[in-house]
Amino acid sequence: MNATRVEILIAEDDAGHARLIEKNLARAGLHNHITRFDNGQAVLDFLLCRGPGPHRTDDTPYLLLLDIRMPQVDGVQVLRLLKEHPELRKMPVIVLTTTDDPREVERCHAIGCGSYIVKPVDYDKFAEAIESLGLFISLVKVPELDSKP
Amino acid sequence: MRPLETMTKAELIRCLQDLLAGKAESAGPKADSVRGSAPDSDPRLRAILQTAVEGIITIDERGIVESINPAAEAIFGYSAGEVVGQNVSMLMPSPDREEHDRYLANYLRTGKAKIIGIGREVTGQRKDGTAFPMDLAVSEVRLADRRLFTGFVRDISERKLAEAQRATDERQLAELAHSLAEKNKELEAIVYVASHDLRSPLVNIQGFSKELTQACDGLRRRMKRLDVQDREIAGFLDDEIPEALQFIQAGVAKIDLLLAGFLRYSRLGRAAMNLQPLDMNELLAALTRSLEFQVKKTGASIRVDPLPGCLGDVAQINQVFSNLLDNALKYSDHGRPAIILVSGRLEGGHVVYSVRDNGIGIAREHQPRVFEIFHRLNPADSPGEGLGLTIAQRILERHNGRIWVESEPGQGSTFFLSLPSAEQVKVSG
Repeated sequence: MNATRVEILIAEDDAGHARLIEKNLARAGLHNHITRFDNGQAVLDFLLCRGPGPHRTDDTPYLLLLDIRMPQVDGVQVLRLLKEHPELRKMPVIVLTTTDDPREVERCHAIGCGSYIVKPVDYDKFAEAIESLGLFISLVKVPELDSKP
Repeated sequence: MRPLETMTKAELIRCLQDLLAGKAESAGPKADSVRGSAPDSDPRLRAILQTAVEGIITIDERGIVESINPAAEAIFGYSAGEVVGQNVSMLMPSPDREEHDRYLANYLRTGKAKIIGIGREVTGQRKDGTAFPMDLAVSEVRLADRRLFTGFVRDISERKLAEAQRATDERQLAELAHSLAEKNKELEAIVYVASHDLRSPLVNIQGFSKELTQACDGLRRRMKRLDVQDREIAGFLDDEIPEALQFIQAGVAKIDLLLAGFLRYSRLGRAAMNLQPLDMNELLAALTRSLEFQVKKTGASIRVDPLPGCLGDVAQINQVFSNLLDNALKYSDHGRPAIILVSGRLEGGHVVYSVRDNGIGIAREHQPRVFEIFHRLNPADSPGEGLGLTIAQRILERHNGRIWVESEPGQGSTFFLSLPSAEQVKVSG
């Protein structure tokens, strides 16, 4: 499977953070299509094909960068719903956290998210993290989602 | 018979009963003469009544007072003349006052006692109309032709007041402790959320200021490629903008450090405590080993005396000593190598450890403030966010312990830690 076909979904309520992630992904040499959602509900609607907005397509592999702290439907709720879904549970999710607070990390692990990155304020570390994530994204085997629910 | 002053209430009651009933064996040789006569006609009995600390009142079967001793006079505020011959109900508030005759008749008829032979807490009424709580014990004396009842009265207003006060104090203390715990929890939650949410915009400030740096680099490259020579533009690109960005980034780094400190502090309050007896010799040995490099580099020395064990959470107590040793090394006097001494002694149920250094010391007026959060005495001289001692104090509080400092500027500081002793477990367990 071709990794460049992977579409990156960013669920992040902070436009600045999302933009920094996009810039750094590009700088890391990733030119995948990126779709941004500014809240948990929007990304759920997209993935679960609900509401009037754009919906996911069957033949596209996705990777989700998910912010934990978002208003209304937060990252934890999104993750929980995805993990309950027969198809979407296979989609790779990388959780973005603002701190390395053990409580937050534990919560993610508890609902089945193996990878998370802490958003460091230190730009270099941040770039490094995103870069290694970029590497990760280009190497990761993203399973294709079979069918809509 | 023993001296009256040394008798217990029960002994006194028994003695009086015997005297009133005319039992010769315990009341002495003269007791025969009181059989069937008025209870206070015997000089010995009169002496008891006169000197007893308890109020003693004798009534007949109809409730008419036959005698009242000075203690009872004092309690109720009546003189004997005002009471003797009157119904004893005058010493009670309503509704007992109206009901007393019935109580007594009821007892005489059924033999079912409510107070007689039992004793209980009742309410009395003084001459001035004020009611007061009192202990009342009533014993029954059967004479040849009639029955008498003797009441032993003690005013317990003060005791009740003290009890009520103590109950109020305890309740207030419990409420205070509860609200304090709530406030603490609230504060930790606020600190957590604040530091967490404040960190989010920082990501943008730092991230985008770096973006601006990169944009400047790009502009410079572009100008070079186009061979643009402009001193004013170069001034902005090389000096003005980088300087501004540098201050922005330094500011962000500082806030980030403080927020990380806040987070660390708030996490401390939530961390689970695993209290167990700690081998402090082992703990300090490991700590000093980890500091070996730093110690060698600065020519410092750390001596650890044999230490008694304490009861604590190993990670947290380790953190405390690590902070104290770090400080002792950090605040050494540059004119002499640091000498640090760790010792400990048992004091009651506690162990008091001390960490003594020969460093720069702390001025008296600054000593209480060293435990304040983010308080730093020499911010320019040494790195750190000013949290080490605050965290140490918080940990000690959570262990029901205490930390304090004694220091002489120019001579050094000694930090003392008081922790529950490990011996307590052995004793109770």
